[in-house]
Amino acid sequence: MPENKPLPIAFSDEDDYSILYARYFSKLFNYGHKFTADNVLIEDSIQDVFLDYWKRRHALKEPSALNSYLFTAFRYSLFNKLSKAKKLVGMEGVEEPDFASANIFYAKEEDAVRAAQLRAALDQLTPRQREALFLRFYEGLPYETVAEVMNISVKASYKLMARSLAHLKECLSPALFFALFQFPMLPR
Amino acid sequence: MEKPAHKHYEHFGSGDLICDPFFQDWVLDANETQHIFWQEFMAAFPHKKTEVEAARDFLRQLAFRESFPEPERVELAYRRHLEQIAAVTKDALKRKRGVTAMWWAAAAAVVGIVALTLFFERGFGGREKVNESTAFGIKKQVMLPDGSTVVLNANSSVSFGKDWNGAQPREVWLKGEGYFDVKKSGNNTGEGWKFLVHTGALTVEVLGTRFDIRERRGVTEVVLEEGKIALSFLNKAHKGVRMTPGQMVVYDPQKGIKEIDTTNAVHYTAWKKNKLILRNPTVAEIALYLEDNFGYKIVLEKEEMGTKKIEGPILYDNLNDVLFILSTVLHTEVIRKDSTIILRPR
Repeated sequence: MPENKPLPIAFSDEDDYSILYARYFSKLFNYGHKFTADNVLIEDSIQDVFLDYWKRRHALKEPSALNSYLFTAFRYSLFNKLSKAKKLVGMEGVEEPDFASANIFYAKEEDAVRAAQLRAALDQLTPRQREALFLRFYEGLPYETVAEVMNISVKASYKLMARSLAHLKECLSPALFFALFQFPMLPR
Repeated sequence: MEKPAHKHYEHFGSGDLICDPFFQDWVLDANETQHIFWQEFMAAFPHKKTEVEAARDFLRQLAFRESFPEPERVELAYRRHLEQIAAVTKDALKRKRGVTAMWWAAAAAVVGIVALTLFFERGFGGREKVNESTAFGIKKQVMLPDGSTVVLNANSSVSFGKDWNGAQPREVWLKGEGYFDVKKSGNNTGEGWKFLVHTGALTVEVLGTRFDIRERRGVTEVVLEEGKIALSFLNKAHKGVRMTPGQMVVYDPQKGIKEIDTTNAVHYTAWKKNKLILRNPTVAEIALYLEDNFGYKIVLEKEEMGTKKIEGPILYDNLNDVLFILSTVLHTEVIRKDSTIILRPR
């Protein structure tokens, strides 16, 4: 279903609903895979979210809120299941699920030195910073929605994003690049 | 977002630009206004051009590993979801039944739930029903309990009772498009064993035959290849229609019944062999067909493109091939964005 068409809330047509389901199943599955490789867990979370959504679809009046609703509910459900699973194997005390660094990379960087720097910079980001980048630059969500999904204030989402990008932008600066290139053994 | 003034960015470096939401929006999903804004900005501050381009490239190169589910997994999950809904609806119905007598006010709500339950029981099967469905871009052959077969086109479903006995007519419910090859009366009573196919708007009664039903967007088309079938309509204002081989009936509840004699019914059933053959189809018709079977929204940027006719068979099992043909015939470029395909004049 195209983004620009208002998503139906009360589904007179089952076809529309199946398309909506398929589209968000793929989106959420992809999102969930950033935190875990457990397909079953991811799918269970999606099913929970959609059953809940189906029950209260009439209460959700604002179609534009759907994106935000589904992502938020999915993240909540998945994180719950992940923390339960961790408790079962005695891994308590582990904080939020890890948005693995392998999921984010720089495409088409030909300069090997710069590529290595970017890789290092991406690895240094916190899981939450990576997740914010994903929601903003992969899913294209506005800051307000990123904030809602990640359960932080809009202001905090701006800060989180700015910090991540500021960290990455250091690799952008030719001066620094030059300096590092000249003195690779420079002590930190 | 409020459009800022060009001057606002006068002292921005590339590092500042990548953090700016308005700039990000341009990189993420540029529209005409944004393009003009940044073109004007670079014209007004030429020394900023490299900064803008560096920032844009930097954000564009940020990439993420993708892990999408296979179509089969999605299809299965959707079926499971419908089962869950059906279970929830039934529970709700049981709870309601005990109190309905007292609650006339609740009657409307209960009617709604009953309707839903019927809908799901009919469409997706209670305990003794079998439901088979196909996702976009996938076809499937389904064997019925009497050995008859249905080839389901993409984005379609059939449901039917798990066991058929001779006492009851053979009944199948169809959504979307299916090609039926029906065994001649399987019971030994000498009488014909009724075979009924129900769609939303009509019922096809058959006695061993091959035919195609396509129900899309409220319009039902039935094409008979061989044998004899009779149609009856949900709307009792319409008289039933007896069809002969090679005949096609198009039923649109808004416009009524149209009987068309076609010398070559095979054209209409060619989708089984992955051939999209419509009789002198217009581009708009092909677009609708692709939307129904692949789930993409197809946008023709110039409306008159839709009226152009295309002749000859088009292999449709590969969406890219069809798009290539369309783009060649129409001289358009093909822009794919999520689930939308735009055909834009070159």
